[in-house]
Amino acid sequence: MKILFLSDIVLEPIAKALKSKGDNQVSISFHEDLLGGLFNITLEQLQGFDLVYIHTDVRFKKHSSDKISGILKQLVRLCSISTANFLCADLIELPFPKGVLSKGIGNVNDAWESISNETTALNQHPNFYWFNLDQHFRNLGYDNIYTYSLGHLYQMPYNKKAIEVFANLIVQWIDFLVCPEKKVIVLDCDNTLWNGIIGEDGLTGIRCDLSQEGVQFYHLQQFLLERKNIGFLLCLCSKNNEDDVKEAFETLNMPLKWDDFIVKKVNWEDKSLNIKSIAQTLNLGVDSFVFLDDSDFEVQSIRSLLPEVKVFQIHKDYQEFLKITDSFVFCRKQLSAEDLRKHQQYIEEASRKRDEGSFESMDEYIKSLEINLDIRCNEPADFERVSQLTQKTNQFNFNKVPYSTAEISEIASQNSIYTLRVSDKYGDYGLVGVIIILHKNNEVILHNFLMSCRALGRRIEKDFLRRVSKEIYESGSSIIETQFVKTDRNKPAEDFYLQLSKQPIWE
Amino acid sequence: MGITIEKLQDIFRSAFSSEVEINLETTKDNLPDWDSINHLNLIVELEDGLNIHFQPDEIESMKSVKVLLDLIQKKSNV
Repeated sequence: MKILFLSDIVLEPIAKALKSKGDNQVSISFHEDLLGGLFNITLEQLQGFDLVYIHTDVRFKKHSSDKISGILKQLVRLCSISTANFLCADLIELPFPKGVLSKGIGNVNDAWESISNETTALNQHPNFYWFNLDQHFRNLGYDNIYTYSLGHLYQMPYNKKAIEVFANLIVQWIDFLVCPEKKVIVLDCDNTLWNGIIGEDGLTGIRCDLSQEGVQFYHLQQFLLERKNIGFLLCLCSKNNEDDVKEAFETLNMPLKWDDFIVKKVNWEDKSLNIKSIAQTLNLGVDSFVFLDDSDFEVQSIRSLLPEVKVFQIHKDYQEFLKITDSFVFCRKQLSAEDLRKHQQYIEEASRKRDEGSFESMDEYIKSLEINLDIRCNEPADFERVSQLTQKTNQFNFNKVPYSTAEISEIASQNSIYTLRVSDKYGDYGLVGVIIILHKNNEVILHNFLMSCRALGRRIEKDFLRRVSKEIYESGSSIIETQFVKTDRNKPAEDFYLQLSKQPIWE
Repeated sequence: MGITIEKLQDIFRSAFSSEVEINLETTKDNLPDWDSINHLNLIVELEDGLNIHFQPDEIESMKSVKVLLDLIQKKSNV
């Protein structure tokens, strides 16, 4: 990971701690005046960095709100021209919360108003993240962090403890930004979602409420419900009688309901087989799975049989429970309208799968779906989603080049970016496909072709490409080159590409 | 109380991230690794490892191992 630190604080000790924690190359750009530094940096200088970390500290530097606002404005500009991820310490914000000192000072609210426009603009950039460092510093206590002698001599005000905490957090951020996002949370029931064992203690014996015995479980269910609302898919994997578990969810007043789970494996099968089968049903890799269970046996077996799954063991200990819910694994990089519909989309997908079995042939089934394709070209409103797909799509992706929204818009000015929306009788899939066609001196090149995994398996990709190439053919040219780059995760795209090279669609 | 030169050498090594050798004659001028960034790292390690706190003028005066040892000795006796 190549990281650039942009700061008005001397961050060398943090870079040193980071280097000792793995393969991180850290470059540091220190500017006495951060704003000036941000103005001087060029796109060339940003190139090649995966992460740009911006740090200033209002408690130490005492910036004016005008200056903060200038820094944020400049960050908005950098985020829109670069594909790097930007991570900014929230110590950049004004140090007092809105309204607290407003009576005495008068202009505090105005100061907040003046930066709120910039923070809103920043939050809209998918490559921009706030680093909630201040929260961690508050947990430690400011007196245990700052060492002002060093601060005033060397512009480095943190002691060793703070440096360690700081470096550990950045490592977690790097993991979060580099690893594929988790999408599915698989849950055990007994002593995980409630206190007690339903098969033995019965409906009246298990606890998931605000009592001392039930509160951890109640809070976990609330937390999981929130995860569902930001696009995580919840599944059950429990060794129990399905009727008992169903009855518990239906009769007890718990935050989660039976229908909140998209796939339920309540049986006596091996849990690793159940998880694999859930992955198949959802058409997702197990590397996007998180598994929560209290049992040593289940936890160990999933860790050894399915090491790609992120496993947490639940203990009856509230402090430990908080460590789990604080994990980056349960965070989202960005929230799109697509994410918010995720649960609904998979419900629709499940009804498709259920009906699939009742048809004689695949052709007949696909026909019965009444699939409708809506293809658009160079539609600016789609560019953000296109950029998201270039970054998130793994399986069906010809050319894993991530593009920022600004770059997509730049490409579209000279070339053609086709987007595909799909719907069928069960519901709407959303924007699920992108074809990027480059026009270079009368040559037409298929630069990238990507499809979201939930639209695969319905021969839609073939129709999409056929219709795009037909349009190109009718305008008097044809695709002469297809750019494909093999990765370790794009097998479905490779299969399609190989088929294509044997039998081109456009001929 | 105070600190042995061996213990001080350990602190130098973790601060400088290198296997430096120090003795009573070592100074900022004759130890090439002892630049200003490593001086900063050294103070961070000393304050943490010995649980003491230095004033800015003390930090600036620490130009040799001898001065350092005296200063630590003085601080620990308070």
